[in-house]
Amino acid sequence: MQVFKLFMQILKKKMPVAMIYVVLFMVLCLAFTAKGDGEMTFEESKVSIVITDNDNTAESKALTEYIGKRCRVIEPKMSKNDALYFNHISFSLTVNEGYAQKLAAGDTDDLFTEEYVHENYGAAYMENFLGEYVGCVRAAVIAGDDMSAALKSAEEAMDIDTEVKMVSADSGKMNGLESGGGFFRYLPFILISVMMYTLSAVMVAINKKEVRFRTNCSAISPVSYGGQLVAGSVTFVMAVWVLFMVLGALVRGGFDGKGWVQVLNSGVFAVASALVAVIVSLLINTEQTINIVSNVVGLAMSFMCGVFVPQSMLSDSVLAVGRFMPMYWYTKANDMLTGAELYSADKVAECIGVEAGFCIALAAVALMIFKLKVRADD
Amino acid sequence: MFFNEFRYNLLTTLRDRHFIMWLILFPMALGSLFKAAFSDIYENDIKFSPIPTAIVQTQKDDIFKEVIRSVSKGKDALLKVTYADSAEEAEKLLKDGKVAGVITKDGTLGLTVASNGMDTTILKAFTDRYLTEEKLIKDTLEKDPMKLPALTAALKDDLKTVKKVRLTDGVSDPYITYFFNLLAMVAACSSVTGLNVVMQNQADQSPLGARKGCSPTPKLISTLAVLAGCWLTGMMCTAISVSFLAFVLKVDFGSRLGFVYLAAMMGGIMGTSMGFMIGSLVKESYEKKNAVAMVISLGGSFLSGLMIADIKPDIMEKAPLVNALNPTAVVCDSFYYLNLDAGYDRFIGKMVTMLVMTVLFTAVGFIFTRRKKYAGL
Amino acid sequence: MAENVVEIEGLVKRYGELTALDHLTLEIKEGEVFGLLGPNGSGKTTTINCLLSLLSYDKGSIRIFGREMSPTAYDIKKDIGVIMQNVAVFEELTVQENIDYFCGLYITDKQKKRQCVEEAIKFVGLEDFRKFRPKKLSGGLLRRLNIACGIAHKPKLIILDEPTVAVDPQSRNKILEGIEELNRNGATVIYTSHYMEEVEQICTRIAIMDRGRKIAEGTKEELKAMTKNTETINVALRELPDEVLNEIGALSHIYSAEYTDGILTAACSGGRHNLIRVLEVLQKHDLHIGQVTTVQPTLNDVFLEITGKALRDKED
Repeated sequence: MQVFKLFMQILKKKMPVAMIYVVLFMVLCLAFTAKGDGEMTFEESKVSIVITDNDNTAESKALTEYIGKRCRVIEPKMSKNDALYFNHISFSLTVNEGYAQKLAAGDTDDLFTEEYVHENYGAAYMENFLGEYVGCVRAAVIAGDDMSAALKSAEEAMDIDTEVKMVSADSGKMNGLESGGGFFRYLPFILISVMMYTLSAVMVAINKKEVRFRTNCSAISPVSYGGQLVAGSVTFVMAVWVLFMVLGALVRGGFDGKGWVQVLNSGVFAVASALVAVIVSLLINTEQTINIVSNVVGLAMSFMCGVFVPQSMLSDSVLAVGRFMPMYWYTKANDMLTGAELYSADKVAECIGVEAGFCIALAAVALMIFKLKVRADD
Repeated sequence: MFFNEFRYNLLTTLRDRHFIMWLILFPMALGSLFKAAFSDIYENDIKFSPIPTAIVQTQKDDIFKEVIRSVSKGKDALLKVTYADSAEEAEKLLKDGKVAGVITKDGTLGLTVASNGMDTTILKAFTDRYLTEEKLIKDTLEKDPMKLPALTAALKDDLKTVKKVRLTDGVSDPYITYFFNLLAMVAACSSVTGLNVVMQNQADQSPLGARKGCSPTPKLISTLAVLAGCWLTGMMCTAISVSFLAFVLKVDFGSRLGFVYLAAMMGGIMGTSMGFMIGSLVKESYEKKNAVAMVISLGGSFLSGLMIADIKPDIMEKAPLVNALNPTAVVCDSFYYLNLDAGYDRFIGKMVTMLVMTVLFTAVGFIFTRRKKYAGL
Repeated sequence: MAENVVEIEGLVKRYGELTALDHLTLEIKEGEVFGLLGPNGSGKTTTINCLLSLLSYDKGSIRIFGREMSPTAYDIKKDIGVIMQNVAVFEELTVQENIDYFCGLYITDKQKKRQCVEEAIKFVGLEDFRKFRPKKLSGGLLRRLNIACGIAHKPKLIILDEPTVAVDPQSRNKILEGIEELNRNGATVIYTSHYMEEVEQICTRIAIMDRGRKIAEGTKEELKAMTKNTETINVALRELPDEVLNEIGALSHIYSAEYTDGILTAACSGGRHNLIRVLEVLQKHDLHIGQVTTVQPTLNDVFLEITGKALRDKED
């Protein structure tokens, strides 16, 4: 247990630095969670829209009022360009001057101006909506209504709702754009980053050439040495993981049935991420670069495995590569558990099983690298 | 003396294989990944494309058929229609993800969907519109059947009520922001080079610093020289990143690539200076300095939307000051304004911000490294 | 009378509770090779760092070349060469580049600099390693590089802080000869070490430090005179009855006599013909005499006697 003890002693020395990272990632984790909330329930998508009324007549007011019922009218603080670009608003509508006159005259051309940055669904929806509205009003006028009656009957007619039936589908592709939200969605990025940043500091100290050579001269076998290092890393990781689970429990107000499965899922993943961190710090052992490497590995994996951008939006080729990483399976399981994908207990178990398999494989790889490394002169 | 320091600083930095490799390889790796991951998203998911829809028609209805035909043809088609023979068949298509919704016409109009996204909302809008018009016709039929032909004629008219004005000539793919953020992150990561300014020149930080402290080269000059060397390295790394993204990955930065280089290099300089400041403020070990630099770069990148793109508009809306002061966001925004705006006003604003930050960071760095004698080494 | 190159007066340096330097006063004259001797933690390196104005100190004054030393006294620093205890070179630069860099901190004239670098490389014998990076150099070569970086600009005052730690005998000799040569060429040298032989070999004057204080100072002869031991007589004997040992111990000028492992060790203090008188006693008792040696005291004996034999590393 000598090496294990050494690991813990060095870890203790590196604690202040490690805690900087733990706290950073806890804060990030909370920020992620706050951002990701509310994505779990399905609501009718309401288009965010900004309206400028240049006509300012009863007719234009009736229209904007009616739009207010069907859309989310907002007034962004940032510039319209920015809001449109970042999809903060989907549609920028200007009711042109002379709207009421033109409508009364039956002239429907260019009643509105739409400012856009890129084409999107919201805009398509609004174009359709405006066309429908004006069409209805015009038709009602032609059919003999006066303007105010026409506006009213247009609104009435448009209020008719289609009866919509929901069925659940197997394919994630069509299942909306979002992955499961909440605390667990971004956790893999957090876990793998925190592991790499904190563990690497310890591993770099332990893996110094001179120390390594000296250890190699002792009676301890490389397998035992490496095994104890892995054991130390996993112990540390579990401690960090427990911290995060406590945080999660506080954020979510405890766990329920599927929540516990999520906890299990993240626990298995935490072990896998510790092993990834061990492997990375075995391969790269200069302090200066290890942070940048951790950065790349953490971000790259998270992007490829659907942590930041939902799996359903990623191309098949990216996902094909992602399959070779434990994070992919974590996310897949988590998507099912949060309802972003069709839930199947078997499939969730399968995903967690694959992650566990990764743990074993990664541990084997770590030991192998360690055995090779023991004699490496670098 | 200045040149001696400057020259050898460049030489040491360039020879530090690991370090340079990662500052250059890091953006290349992530950039390639972004390219692979995002190249299709805009076309597939954000840009509007006709919605795949299954139609199940059990009753003969020529008007319905005509309407469906009219909205599914041409360049501006709303729907991409598949006709199904039975409700079961259509539902299977839906479950397999082949279509976004099923429209059934048996007496009334029904819609079946599997999820609730923008595409299904549009489907619903379409069916709603159909029902609306149906109601108008019915109402007219009751009130004044004579007006019916005029009404249907009116409804048939293809109205052009909306005049579209595009606000920008820039690249409209919002995913390009990820590349902007990536460059901003490289700039922020240059802070790691800036840490070395302190490590190398402070007698209490390294034997080299102590050794330099004994030489007759004034500390101000040697610090300036090393800082200048680091600036050049930072500029180089960001410039290489831009080149790689623009020419190898063919990321479309719009028509003002020269200014993209300029902003990126300015960002590199700012990031380096930030590192200098952090190094001077965090008195302890290199590890701790590094940790703080990483916290700031990573945290800044998060707030600038590198990880979750949606965070950026939220911050811009709710905490514009954070966005204005976050160095990573400033770099990111400079690219963004360059792409989006026709003029240069906001771009220049961001460049000035970077310049001011650089001056500020450097000044703080100098103030906190001015000590020449130490209580302990 | 040669001028004082370095004058340290009443130097006090505290690290919190610990007093690292306790009213240290030193004067080093031009042309000297001044040895600063002391166990680990005695304050040698602290003295050097204060001297170089790297460390702040609580009391006292330091003058070099007759002028007040300060961090910005660049005209003084220009003439000082420093070889630090820790090797301070760039891993990324080659031998030649490292020397050129450090030389460039002092000399701006290109022509002159190039010449100095060349001479420094020859001086430490690293001609065949110009293009090597420090990582590829052995411990001795690395120390030689460290020295070359410190002396390339031809300083008038050279400060060497334990430059031979972990160096093989060949390199050590080369380094020591080099220091002597620098001194012959006119440089004043301050040399810290805890290797007695080195100091004995090259230093013209020595100060012994312990716990931040100077406890002895002088030429090596003067220092040796400070111990009461003048010579030690060793005689190999098959046997030595106790009464004979007592008789030897009672001789005048012999202050201790021991018999262990077949060797009689008699420590003498002053007096003449001590050896003959010991041998006479042995002859009188008809004892079989084996190998006989007499040993003059070394600086090591002086050092150990003055500073005590306790292990010092605990205080480091």
